[in-house]
Amino acid sequence: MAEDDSTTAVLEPADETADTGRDLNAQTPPDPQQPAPPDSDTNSDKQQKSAFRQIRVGKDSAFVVNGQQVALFDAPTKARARAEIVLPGYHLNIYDQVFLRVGQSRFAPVNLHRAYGDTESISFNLPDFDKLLKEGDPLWIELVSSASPEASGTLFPYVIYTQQKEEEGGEAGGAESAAKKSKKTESEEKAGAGAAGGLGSLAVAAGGEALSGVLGLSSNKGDAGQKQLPLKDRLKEALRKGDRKAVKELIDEAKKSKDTKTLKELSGEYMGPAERYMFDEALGALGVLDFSPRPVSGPGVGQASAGGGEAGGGEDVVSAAGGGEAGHGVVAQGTTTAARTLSESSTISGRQTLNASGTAEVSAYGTQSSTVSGSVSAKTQAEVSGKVESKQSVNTQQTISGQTGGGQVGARVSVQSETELEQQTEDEVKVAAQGQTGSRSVQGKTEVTNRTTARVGQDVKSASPQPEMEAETEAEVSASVPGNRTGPVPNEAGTVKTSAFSDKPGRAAGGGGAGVQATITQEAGEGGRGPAEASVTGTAQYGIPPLSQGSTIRADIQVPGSAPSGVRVTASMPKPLGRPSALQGRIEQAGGKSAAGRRDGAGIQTSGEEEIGARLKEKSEGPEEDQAVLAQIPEEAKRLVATFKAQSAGGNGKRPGAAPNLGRTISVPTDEEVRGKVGGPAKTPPQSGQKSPGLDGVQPAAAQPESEPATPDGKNGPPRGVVRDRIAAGAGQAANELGRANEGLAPALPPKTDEQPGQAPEQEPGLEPEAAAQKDGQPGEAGSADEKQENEEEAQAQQQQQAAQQQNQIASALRQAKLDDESLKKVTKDANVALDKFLMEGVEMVWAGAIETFGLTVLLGAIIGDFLWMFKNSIIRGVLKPLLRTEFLKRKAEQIAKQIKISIKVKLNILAMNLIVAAAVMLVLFILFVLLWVGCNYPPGITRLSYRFSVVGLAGGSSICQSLDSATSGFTGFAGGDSGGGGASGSWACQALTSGDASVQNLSNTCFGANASKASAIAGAESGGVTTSESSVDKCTVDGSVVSFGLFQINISAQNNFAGLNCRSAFDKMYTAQTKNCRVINKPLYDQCVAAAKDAQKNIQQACQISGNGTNWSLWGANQKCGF
Amino acid sequence: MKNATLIKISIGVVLVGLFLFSIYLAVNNDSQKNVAVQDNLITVQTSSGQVQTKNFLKDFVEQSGNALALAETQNYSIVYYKQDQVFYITLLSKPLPDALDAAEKAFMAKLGVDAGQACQLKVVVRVPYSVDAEASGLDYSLSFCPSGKKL
Repeated sequence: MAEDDSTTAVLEPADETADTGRDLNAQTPPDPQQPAPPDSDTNSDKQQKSAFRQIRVGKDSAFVVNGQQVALFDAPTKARARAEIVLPGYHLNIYDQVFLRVGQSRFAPVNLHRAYGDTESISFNLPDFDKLLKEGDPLWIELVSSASPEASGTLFPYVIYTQQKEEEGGEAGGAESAAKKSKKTESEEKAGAGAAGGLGSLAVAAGGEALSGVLGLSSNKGDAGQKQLPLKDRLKEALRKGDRKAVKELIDEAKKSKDTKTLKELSGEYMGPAERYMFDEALGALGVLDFSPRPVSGPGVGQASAGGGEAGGGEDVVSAAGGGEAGHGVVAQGTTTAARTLSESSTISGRQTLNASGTAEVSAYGTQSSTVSGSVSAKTQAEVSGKVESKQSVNTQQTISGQTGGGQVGARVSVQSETELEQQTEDEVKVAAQGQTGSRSVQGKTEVTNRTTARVGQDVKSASPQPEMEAETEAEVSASVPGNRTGPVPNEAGTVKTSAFSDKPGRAAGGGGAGVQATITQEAGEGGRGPAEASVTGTAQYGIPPLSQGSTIRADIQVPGSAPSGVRVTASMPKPLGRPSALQGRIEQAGGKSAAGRRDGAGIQTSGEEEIGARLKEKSEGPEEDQAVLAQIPEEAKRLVATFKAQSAGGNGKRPGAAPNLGRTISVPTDEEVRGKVGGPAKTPPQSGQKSPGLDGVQPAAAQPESEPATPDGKNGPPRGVVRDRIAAGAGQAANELGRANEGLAPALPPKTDEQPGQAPEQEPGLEPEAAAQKDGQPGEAGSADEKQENEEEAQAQQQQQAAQQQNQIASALRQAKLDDESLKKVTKDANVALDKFLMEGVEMVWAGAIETFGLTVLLGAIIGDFLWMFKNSIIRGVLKPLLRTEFLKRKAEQIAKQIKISIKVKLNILAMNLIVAAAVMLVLFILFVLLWVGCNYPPGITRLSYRFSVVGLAGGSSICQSLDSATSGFTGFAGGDSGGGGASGSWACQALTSGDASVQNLSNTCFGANASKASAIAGAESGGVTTSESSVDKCTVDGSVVSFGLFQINISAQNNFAGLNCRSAFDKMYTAQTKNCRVINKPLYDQCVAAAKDAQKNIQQACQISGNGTNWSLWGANQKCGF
Repeated sequence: MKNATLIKISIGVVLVGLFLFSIYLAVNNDSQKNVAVQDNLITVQTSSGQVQTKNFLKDFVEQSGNALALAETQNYSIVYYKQDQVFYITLLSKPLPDALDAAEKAFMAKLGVDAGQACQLKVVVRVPYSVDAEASGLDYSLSFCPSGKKL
C-alpha cells in the first residue's frame, strides 16, 4: 500500500508542465494567481479535511462534453445552470461532501453523486447561480473527507461537462446556441490565452440574460499571445485532427530531441488510463503505434459509450411443406448469424419460425376425429460472449381426421400434421468495455446459432427437402375411434396406434406411400352375433422405402362378448415388407378362446388382404366342462384305461356275458351321467348283453391271460373264484393306476387289501386252480352240476358286482377330478377374498397407527405393500407348492398364483402410502435444506467467504455450507450474498484465505470481527497472505529501502504510531505514490518498524486502525480489485 | 409412559445422534493431520495419505510467529504456516509463469518431494497486488496439480 497520510486540503492547480492528476492531499498552496477561496486556508489549517479544487483550464486540460472529449481548443465557452459536472480521478470515494464556492458564497451542488462504489468519479449538477456570478468569476470545488483525515485522492486535470438540453434553458439556450456557433474560435482564443498564461480557471461567463446559469471558460492570466505549444500538446492536437504526417513529424521530433518525458507520455506513463487509451488508439489508428484494443473484460476505467447502439434483430423463417408420399418428417435447421455492434448492454432479438406440415395415410376404423397435442423438443444453442438468456416456445398441433368405411370396420384415416415451431430468442449481451473518455463504440461479433430439430407427425410428406436440410421424423399418433355400425355387427370401439420412424434423413421424396393398413373383417356370425366391442392395435415400423427389414405388423383383437361365429383379422400392406418380416395376429375371446396366426417370410403380401388370424373353432364335442376335464387327463391315464379295456376285452372274448360296454369312446361322465347312468355304487348290475354305462372303453371284467388253464369243465378261464379275484384285483389296480396317473384328479383309490370286501386275494404263483380253491377253503370236488352252476352264477354275480364297483370308483375319481377343478376355482376365489380381507386389515392398521408412529407404519406399509405387489406370484407359488401333494396341483400353483390378485382397493392404498412416503421424504429434505440454509447464513452478513462464522460454521459445519453452496450456486444462490458493497465480482476476484495468519478464522478474532472475510481477502491480495512479505515495489528510490511490509503491506513511512513506534521519523520523507525519493535516516528505528510490520498481530492491528475495523478499504490498492 | 412412546423417542434419539455424529466426522475430517518429525524427515499427514519430506523446519530463512519463511528470493517467497501446515508461495516478479516454475522447483527441492507428493500437500500460490493487480487475489495452487490454475 502506498500510503500518504497528508491531510492538506487544497488541491493544487495544474502546473504548466504536468497535466497529471493531483493528490488532493498534496500540500502545495493554491495558485497565487487565483483568488483563494475565502476560508480555504482556514479549513485546511484547522480541519485539514477539505480539498478545494479550483477548476482550471490549463493549457493541456481537457473537457468532456456529451461524451466527446475535447481539448482546450474546443472547450465550450458557456454552460447553463444545472449542467452536469463529473470529476474523474482516483480514490474519490473517500470524499463525502462536495461544496461549490463562488467568491464568498458557498453552494451545495445539485444531484450530488459521490463515489461510493465508483471510486473514480464524483458528479453533480451546477446550481443556478443567477445574479450571483458574473463573467470571470472563478468557481471552486471543495471536496471534504470528514471520516478519513489521511485520505488521499487524485483528480484528473479535467472535468466532464455535460450541457443541458435546449428546453431547459430558455433564453440561455439561445445564448448557448450562439455560443456554439462561435465556440471554435472563442475556444481557441481562450485556449491560446490559457496556454500562454499557463493557468486557467473555470469561471462564470457573461452570457447576457443567461449569465446566471452559464458557465464559461476564461483565463484570468490575460493573453500573452499564442506561443508554441509543447511537443506533447502539439502531438495531441495532431492526433485529434488525424494529421498523420504531423504526428510522425512530432514523434520524430520527440525522438530526436530525446524528449523522454513526451515519449513516456506517449507510452501513457503519466496519462490516466482513459486518456492513454484514447491516445494509443489514435496512434494505432494512424499506424504510429501497434495498437491493440484492450479486452472487453476486466476493470474498466472511465466509461464506455454505447456507440454500438441497439443490436438489430433478425428473423429467419425456415419452412418445409409436405408434398410427397413417403413417411418422413421434416427437420429444418436454420442458422442465424449476425454480426452486430454491441454496446455495453445490448439486446439481440431474433425470431425463427419453423413450419413443417404434411399428411399421412393410416387405415383404421370408424370415423375418428381427434386432436393430439404434443410437444416438439427443440434445442437452441447460442454462444454469445457474455450473458445469454434465451426464451423459446414450441407449439405443435396435430389433427387426425378420417372417415369410416361402410359395413366394414376398416377405414382410411388421413392424418395431417402441422407443426409450427416458433422460437424467439432474446440474447442479452453484456459487454464489459474498457472505458475511456471520449466516444468509442465497442464492437463485437455475436454469432447466434439456432439449431432446431422438430419431430413432427407421422408420414409427413416432404416434396423436395433442401439439400442442406435434414429430415427426421418420429411421431406417435393416437386417437380414439368411436364409430357406429349397422347390421349384425354392434358398435365397436378401438384404438389405432401407429408409429413410424425413419432414421435416414433426406429421402422423403417419392417414397411410395407406405401407409399401414390394418383391417378387421368380421364375418356374420350365427344368429347375427358378433363382438360387442373390438379393438385393434397395430404397430408398424418401416423405413425407406417403404419398410425396413424386420418390420412387423401386429394386430390384436379382443372380443369380450359372446362367442362370435367368426372373426378374422387381417393386415395388409400396400407395399411389400422387407425380409425377414412377419405378420402376426391374435384373437382372444372372453372365455379363454383364442387363436393366433403368424406369417413369416420375405415379401409378405404386397396388396390385398393377408389373413393372419384364425377362425375361432366352435366346440362341438360334448359338454364344455367335460372336454375341459378330459383335456386334463394325461396320456398315461388314457393308456392305462386302454390297457384295462384291452384286458377286459380279452376276458370278454372268451367269456360270454362279460361286460358289454365295449367299443365306446372315452368320455368323461358328467354328474348326471354318473348319477343317472351309473346310479351310484352297487346298483343293479346290467344284464348280460347290455352295455354297461360308465367308464368308456373299460371292460369291467378282469383280463385273463391266454395261458389260462382250462376249467375242469373244459371251458377256458380260471375257476370262478380266481376269476372273481382277478377281476377285483385288475379293476383295483387299474383304478389305482388311473388314480395315480391322474395325478390328483382324484384321490387314489383305497389300496386293495385282503380284508376289503368283495376283493379277492392275490393268487399265489404256480398254484393250481384246484389247489387254490382248496386253499380258499372251497370244496375240493366239483360237486354236482347244480352246485357248479350255482357257483358260476355266484361268481358272475360277484364279478359283475365288482365291475360295477370299479366303474363307480373310476367314475367317482373322475368326478372328483372335476370337483377338484371346481373346488380349485372356489379356493382361488376364497383365497382372493381372504387375501383381500387380510390386506385390508393390514391397510387399516397402517392408517390407524400412522399418527401415533409418526408415519412409521405408513413407511412399513409402503415397503411391505410394494414387496407383496411386486413378488405376489412368487410368494404364492412358494407358499402353495410345499402344501400341494401332486405335480398336477403344483403345476396348478402357477395358475392359482395368477388368479389370486391384489384388489384395486389395496393397490390404491399401497400407492397412497408410497406417495405419502415420497412426500414425507421430500418434505424432510426440504426442511433440512432450509435449516442448513438458515444456519449457514445466520447471523446476517455471512458471505461465501465467512461460512465459518455462521451458526453451522461455528458448529464445525462450514464445509457443509460450502458444499451446499457449490451444489446450489448454479440455481439458487445458496449464499446470502456478499455484503459490504463489493459485489460478487469483486469478492470473488479476491478470495479470502482459509489458512495462515490472515485466514478468515484468525482475523475474525481480531478487531476486524465480522469484516474478517474482507480483511482476509485484502491481505491475500496485498501480500498473498504471507506474514513476512516485503513489497517488491514500494521502495525508496534513494536507498532502496522497502517501505511496505506484512500481511496488509503497511507503509511504515506513513505511520507515526505503529505499535508505539514513530516509523515515519525513520525516513527523511514519507513514501507516497508521487514521492518516492525517500531514504532511511534512522536505521535502528526502521528495523524495529520492519519487525513490527512483519509481526502478524501488530500488522493486523495497524490495518484495523487504518481501515476503521475493516469498514474502509479505500486506502489499499488491492481494493480496486476487491471492491469492498 | 407407553412402550410405543419410548420406542419412538429412542428412534428419534438415535437418528439425531447419527446426524450429529456425521457432522462430527465431517468437521473433524482434518483433525487427523499432523506432522511427525523424525530425524531429518517429516511425515505430514494429509487427507490423501502420508507425505514424507525433508525436515524443512530446521532450514528456514526467517521466522515470524507462526510463519516460517523457507525461501525468499526476488522472484518468489515460500512460507510455511506451522499451525495450519500450509505452504504459501508468493510470486514476486514477472513473468509470473517463470516465477511460479522457479518457485515450484525450489519448493519440491526444499521438501524433497516429487510432483505427486507435492500435490498432496496444502499449497497456496498467490500474487501480490503490487506485482500484478490482475493476477492478485486468487489462489493458483501448484501448476502441475489438478487444482492448479493457469496464471
